[in-house]
Amino acid sequence: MTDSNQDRSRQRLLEHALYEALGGDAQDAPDLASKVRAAWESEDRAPSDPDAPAPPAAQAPAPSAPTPSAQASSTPGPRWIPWAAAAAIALTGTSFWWGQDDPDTADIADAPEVARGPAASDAAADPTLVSSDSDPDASSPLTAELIARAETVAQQLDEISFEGMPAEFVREMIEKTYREGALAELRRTPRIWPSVQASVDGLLEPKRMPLYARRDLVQALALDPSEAAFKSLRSLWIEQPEAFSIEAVVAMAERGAFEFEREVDAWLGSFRPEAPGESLPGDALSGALYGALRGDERALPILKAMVKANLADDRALLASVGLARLGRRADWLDRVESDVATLRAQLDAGPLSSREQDEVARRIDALSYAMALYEGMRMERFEPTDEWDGVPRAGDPGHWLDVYGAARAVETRDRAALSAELEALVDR
Amino acid sequence: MREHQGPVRSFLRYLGCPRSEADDQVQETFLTFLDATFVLRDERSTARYLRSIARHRFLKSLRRLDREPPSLDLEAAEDAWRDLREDDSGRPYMDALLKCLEGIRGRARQALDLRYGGGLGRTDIATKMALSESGVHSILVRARRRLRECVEGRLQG
Repeated sequence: MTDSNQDRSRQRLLEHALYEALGGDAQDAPDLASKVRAAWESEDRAPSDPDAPAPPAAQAPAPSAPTPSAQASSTPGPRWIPWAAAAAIALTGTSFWWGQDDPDTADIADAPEVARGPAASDAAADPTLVSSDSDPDASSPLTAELIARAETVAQQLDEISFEGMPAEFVREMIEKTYREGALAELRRTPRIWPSVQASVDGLLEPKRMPLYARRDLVQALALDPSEAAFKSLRSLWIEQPEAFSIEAVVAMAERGAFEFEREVDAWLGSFRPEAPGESLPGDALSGALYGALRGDERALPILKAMVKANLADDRALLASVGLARLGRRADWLDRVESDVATLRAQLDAGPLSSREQDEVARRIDALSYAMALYEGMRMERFEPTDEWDGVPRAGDPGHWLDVYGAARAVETRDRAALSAELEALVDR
Repeated sequence: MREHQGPVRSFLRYLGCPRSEADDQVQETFLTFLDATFVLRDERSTARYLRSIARHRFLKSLRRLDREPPSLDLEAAEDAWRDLREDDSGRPYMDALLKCLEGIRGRARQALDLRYGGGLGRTDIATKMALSESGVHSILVRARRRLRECVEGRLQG
């Protein structure tokens, strides 16, 4: 934890207390004891939160009751397999089951029967399940149950505490893709629910899964911080390492799996972005940052290539953080100066359209995230001034000057001098 | 519960939970707590466990609503709370703050009252006090710095 984190927390604590002391924020709080008691004693209260923090070990002698998600899964095998992952895999194969005319999936028409899963035949036998020949009733109890279970898993995905960098950055994107894409599609197309169930059975037999599905499985498991997921990924690595993306490998390396550490090390040693015919994979940033954050000079050419190849891309900004970590602070500052100059030009150009405002806000967020990464902060984002309402406007330079200032402060650690400089700029 | 609900609510607000949602979050926190197999040992460990539940539930609600995570580093936030506000439900900190506020007078006090008592933004404060916005910003920054030094000094002393 950095001093600036502690400083910021204490600052927030003071401001919060000021609101309480001067604004009566705490005094108007109602007494909730009777309300909680009524809810607790009511039979229809919400079930316990399966993801609630575990009580301190020393204070929890009795084992917890099985969680709803664990109870829901009576199938032998790992109970932690997320339904959202199943949904995502089902979506990958949706065209196979229902969209044979999709040219992108025509080549997997010979996918093994297990991809449909034994549950597919179960579905046909069970009158409450629906066959692929007719659309199910979206409001059937089974569909409702599946939706509820999938949403439970989506919430579990929400609860994943992303640890470490740069896998955090990558995982956020994966999680967003899975959650939004899979669940949205499932809601739109209830007829694919049987395939979701079938996919769960497919997940339970990973050795018989096609490679494309296994890649999805690996990506999904990389989201799961549990020890079970960790062990399973190690097993999968032995069976089929080609199913692992660089992000997944880095995520495992960050969790201390030595074989994955060695793999990243080997990748850093062998990857030559400047070599003829060598392409720069989109997820190379993960591996390069992993190396850079550990001072590995071999990440340097990869990061430089990323900066060069993605000048208008946020990944280039993050790559410049890696360069700074390797002692090339000038590259980092040049990049920040360049981005700030772009922002300045946009703001000075006059009133921004809502689309331009979104773009400016996105750039500021990217800068803030990169700076947080630079400082080695975890889950840290730039905190805008109290008065900023989140909408950048021409003539209201406070927030982007703060961004600029924060970048300078990162470098100089001289916040007093920075404060004076910012005030002078604001008065300009 | 009556002893802990105030600090839990306060902690949630400190993390950035909107006032309109704080009571619901407190209620959910206690329901989760009651569901858990937590063995009461002492008030401090109970308070810490309640805070961990509250933090967890708050993050969950943010993600469900697709909102940004808190700008605070949560580990540092918990440390600051434990260091400064955990004892006696945070009363010593608030007492020290009220004492220190007595030493803030004039325009600095006026700006603090308008900002934290009246909930006004920098523009409105500047209009009311006939100052530039940057002037208001400077006054508030200096006042907060003085207050923080005073409060933390009192707690250490």
